[in-house]
Amino acid sequence: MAKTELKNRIRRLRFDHEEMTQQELANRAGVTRQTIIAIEGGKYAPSLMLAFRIARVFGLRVEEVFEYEGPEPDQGSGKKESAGGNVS
Amino acid sequence: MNRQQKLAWFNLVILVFSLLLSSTVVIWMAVVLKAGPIALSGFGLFAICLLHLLGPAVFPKKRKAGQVLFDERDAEIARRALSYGDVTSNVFFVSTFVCALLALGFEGSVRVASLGLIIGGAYFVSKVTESLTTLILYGRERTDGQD
Repeated sequence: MAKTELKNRIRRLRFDHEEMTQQELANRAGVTRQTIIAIEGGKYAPSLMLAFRIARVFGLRVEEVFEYEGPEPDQGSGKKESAGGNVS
Repeated sequence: MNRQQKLAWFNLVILVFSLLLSSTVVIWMAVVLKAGPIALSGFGLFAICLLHLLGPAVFPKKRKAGQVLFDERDAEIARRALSYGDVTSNVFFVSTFVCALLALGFEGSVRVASLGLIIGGAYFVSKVTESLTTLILYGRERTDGQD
C-alpha cells in the first residue's frame, strides 16, 4: 500500500509505555502485529475506530497519536457553509 | 508470512502447476499423438486447479490466546485483491469474445468445448491476479523484527 499522509507517534509512545512491544499493542488494539508495523511505517492509514482504539491503549486522544500531513482542505470553493455545517 | 500470504502462494503454485501440466499434455497429444483438435481435451486436466480450494484445510487457523488473525487491513487487502481479480477476469472474458468476433466474423462459429476453455481461462486469470495482488500488497510493506 502507498505511503499515507498520516504521521503518527506510535513508536515513541510504545517506548514511553514501558517499552510495549508491537505484539502487545496489536493484542490490545485488536489487530495483527503486521498492521501495527504498517501503521508505524506510515504504509497504512487505520480506520477511525482503530485510531481511537490505539489512542485509548496509550490513554491519549487521537490527535495526540496521529497527525494529518496532507494538504489543507480547499476553503475557497465559493460555496457558503451554513452554521450547522451543511453544505447546500 | 501470515495465513493470507500462505494461501495466496498455495493458490499460485496449484494454478501454475495445473496450467503447465494441462498445456504439456495438450502439446504432447498434438505433437506426438497427432490428435488434432481432440488434443485440446487435455485442458480437462486443468480441473485439478480446483485443488486450490483445499487451501483453508491445508492452512487452518491457529489462534494463540489474545492474538488477532484477521483485521481490517487484511480485509482491505482481500477486498482489493478480489476486485482486481474480478476486473481482470472480466477483461479476459470480454477481450476473448471480441477477438473471436474479429477473427471469425459475425457469421463465424466456435466449438462448444472452447467455451469451457474460456471459462477456465477467466477463472485462472482471476485467481492468479487475486493471489499476486495479495502478495504484492503484503510484500510492499516493511518486515521489521519485533521491537
